[in-house]
Amino acid sequence: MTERGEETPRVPAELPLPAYPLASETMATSYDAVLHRPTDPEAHTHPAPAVTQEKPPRSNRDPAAEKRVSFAVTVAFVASVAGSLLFTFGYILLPIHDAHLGNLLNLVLGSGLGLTMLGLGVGMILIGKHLIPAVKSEQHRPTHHSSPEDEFAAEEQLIGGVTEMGLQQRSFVRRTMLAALGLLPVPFVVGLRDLGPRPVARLRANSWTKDIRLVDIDTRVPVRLGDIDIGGMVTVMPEDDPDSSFPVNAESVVLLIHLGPGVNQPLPGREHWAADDHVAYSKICTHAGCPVGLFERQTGYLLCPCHQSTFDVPRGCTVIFGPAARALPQLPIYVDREGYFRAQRPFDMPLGPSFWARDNKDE
Amino acid sequence: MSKPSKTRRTMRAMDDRLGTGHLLRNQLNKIFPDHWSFMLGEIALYTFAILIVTGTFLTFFFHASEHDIRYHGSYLPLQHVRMSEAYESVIHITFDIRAGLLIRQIHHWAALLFVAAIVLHMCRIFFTGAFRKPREMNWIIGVTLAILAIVEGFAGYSLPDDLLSGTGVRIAYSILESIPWVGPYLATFIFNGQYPGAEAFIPRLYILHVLLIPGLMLVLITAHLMAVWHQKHTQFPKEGYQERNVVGSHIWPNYTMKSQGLFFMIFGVLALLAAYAQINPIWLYGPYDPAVVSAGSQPDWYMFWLEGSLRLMPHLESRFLGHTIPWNVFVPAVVLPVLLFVMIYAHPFVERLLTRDHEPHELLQRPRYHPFRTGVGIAVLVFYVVLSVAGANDVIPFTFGLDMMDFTWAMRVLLIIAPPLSFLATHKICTRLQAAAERAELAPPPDAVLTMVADSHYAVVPHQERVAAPSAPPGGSDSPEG
Repeated sequence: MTERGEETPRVPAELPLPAYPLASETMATSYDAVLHRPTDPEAHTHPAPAVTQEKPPRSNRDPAAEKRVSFAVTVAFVASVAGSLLFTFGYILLPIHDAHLGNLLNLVLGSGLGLTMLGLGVGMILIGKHLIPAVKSEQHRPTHHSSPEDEFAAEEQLIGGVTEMGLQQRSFVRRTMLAALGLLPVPFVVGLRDLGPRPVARLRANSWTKDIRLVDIDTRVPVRLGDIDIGGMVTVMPEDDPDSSFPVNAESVVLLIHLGPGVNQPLPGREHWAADDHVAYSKICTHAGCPVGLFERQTGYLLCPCHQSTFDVPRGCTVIFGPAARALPQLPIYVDREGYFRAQRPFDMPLGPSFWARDNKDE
Repeated sequence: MSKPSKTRRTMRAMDDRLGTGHLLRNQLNKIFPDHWSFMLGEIALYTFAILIVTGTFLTFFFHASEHDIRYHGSYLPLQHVRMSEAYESVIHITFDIRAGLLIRQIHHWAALLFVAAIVLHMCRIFFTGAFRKPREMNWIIGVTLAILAIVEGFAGYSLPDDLLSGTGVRIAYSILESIPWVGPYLATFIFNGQYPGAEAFIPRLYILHVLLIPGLMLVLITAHLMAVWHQKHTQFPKEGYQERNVVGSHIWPNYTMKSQGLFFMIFGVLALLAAYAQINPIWLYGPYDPAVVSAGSQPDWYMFWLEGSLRLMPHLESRFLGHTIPWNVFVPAVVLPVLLFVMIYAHPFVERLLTRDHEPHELLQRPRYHPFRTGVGIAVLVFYVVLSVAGANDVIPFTFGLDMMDFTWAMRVLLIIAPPLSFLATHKICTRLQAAAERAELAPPPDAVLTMVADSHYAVVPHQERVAAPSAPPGGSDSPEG
């Protein structure tokens, strides 16, 4: 097939490439196949002009390089086979629970699957880049618009269809059809109404009541005076909360903090909301609802770990930095005769982040 | 003589029934331009395929329920811990299903790579002007796919109902609530009441994650690829590369081998990552508990910018006529992303208005030849990066011993001044590069020499001609033609 004057096979003279010597008979056959590739009537694909051609890679020209690539491809495919076997035998043989081996199973299965895939991938890419003749081809790119006749005919058909229906004249038919189609989505939207309830007033949603005890959220044991060291804090919830099953009514979570003597500087009107240097504030950030949990004893700052809103605990948990716009709501507390912390009354404002109808107490 | 080969017989049988010969004859000759940047979209496509495969495996074992149970399984540290059935099923996948952890980690790594590939692919399209006529529609589809990918990713990592993702969902609830007037309704309708508690969100999110969003994405990806196939790829302008041709390699066998190889490479790399690099260890985070949060809570990378915008926003809130508008949440988490994506959607049309260029373009532009667009793109990217870095305004100051408040203020200032400065810098760099390229074009080739071609006439002669000169007949150089 290839016309060869010398012993070494060369790039067929008809291709727009210099007549490089080719690595092997196989490579010559490949180049020949490119040359004899049938074109297509739509885009007239053919080898691209010489200016766009690049020098073929060494594997196309140098027998040693071609052998190396072929060898590498074979090794890659063998590795892929080995990977599949590794995965299969690892899956069958290795124990799923083994304290000593740790996640050996995951390592073996992952390595096996990785090898399977990488072997195939490397092999195929090497074929694509190095064993296939590096001949650039060119094809015609038709314009995207149709011929004027086609375009006009299409317009005529679409508009003619409306004329066939007589919609221009039959205005009632036209208008009622549009009305029917226009209202079509409405039932589908209305039907979504029962996805959820109306928003309820948050004031009623929190479950603190008058004289209810503060219990540790983890142990459910009521917190007593002396349980918390100075500078310490405990996350508490209302005792006997009817909704106490986890994690319902998350917004009632409160931080009980022991500030130590003389530290608290209550806001006006809240002089009696603290009890024996303990203060209680909602733990739910007024910004985006994360639990504020990082308390710095030295500064008395309470930090929300989500967006770094910083609250000044001794000064009514007012915001001193960050995106939160409001102080954390304070729960007025007292200590009863047995030493247990109790709520004087529920919170006087909705807990958690702000929303449109926050001040609407009836909704 | 001999019977035609099996392949030929199969193809003939197909052609007899579907007439595939005509189609294949044209399509097997399809030419793809060779440029590495065209691989980014392929990476996105292939990670999507990997996500579908691994995700399907996970659905066999995942239990989409917020129902409250106590754990009694093989993972000892969580014995007797209260958790949702969703979280328990993910622990089960991780520790009791062979290859469960592997597939889960491949799925998560693939999701991270998926969004990254989409963002880089978008950058390629943007900076080379590939979105111009006739490809504006594909830009719209692509941007929609990018948004869906981000939402899909967020939905996916929220499903395990662990401490980290539950906190994220809680924030998402607050963001919905912050929308004026309709926000609280949207929130309670979508979550069937308040979150946490209503036990409706995970099942709803699940069907969104495994059916609605991927289904929609599949439709859009199909449309995206059909348009690319039909319109053919763009190509960079070079000698021989024109508006009305495509120069490159055949789809069969060149691109089939390279592209399928790429698919397997990506899968392989993801499998190795899943084997050796732990991702989203939800068994260490613990189940979601609304009263608990861990320090250093960061979402997946593609949510950093929203996290950062929430963190940088000053504390603004207004109350009027008995209504509250929490600007501190609404602006950074709703207004900003909506505005940004509207800008991205509108870009092809805005640029057409500004340049008055209504012509179709098949050749790409190098970024330097369009300094304004490149500058705008870099400014938006810088804005995005500053927001993303600000999403770590706890971890970065902690790591480098800085003050969190100072760092936050620095990022606020940077967010305002860095984008315009980077626009100016990019514009300048682009124009300088253009000038340099023009000088290079005018300059003689590097291997040229100055030679006397005639009496007192000197010319710059390229190296090759000089080498070829000895073969010319002697004395020929003495009589230049013309």
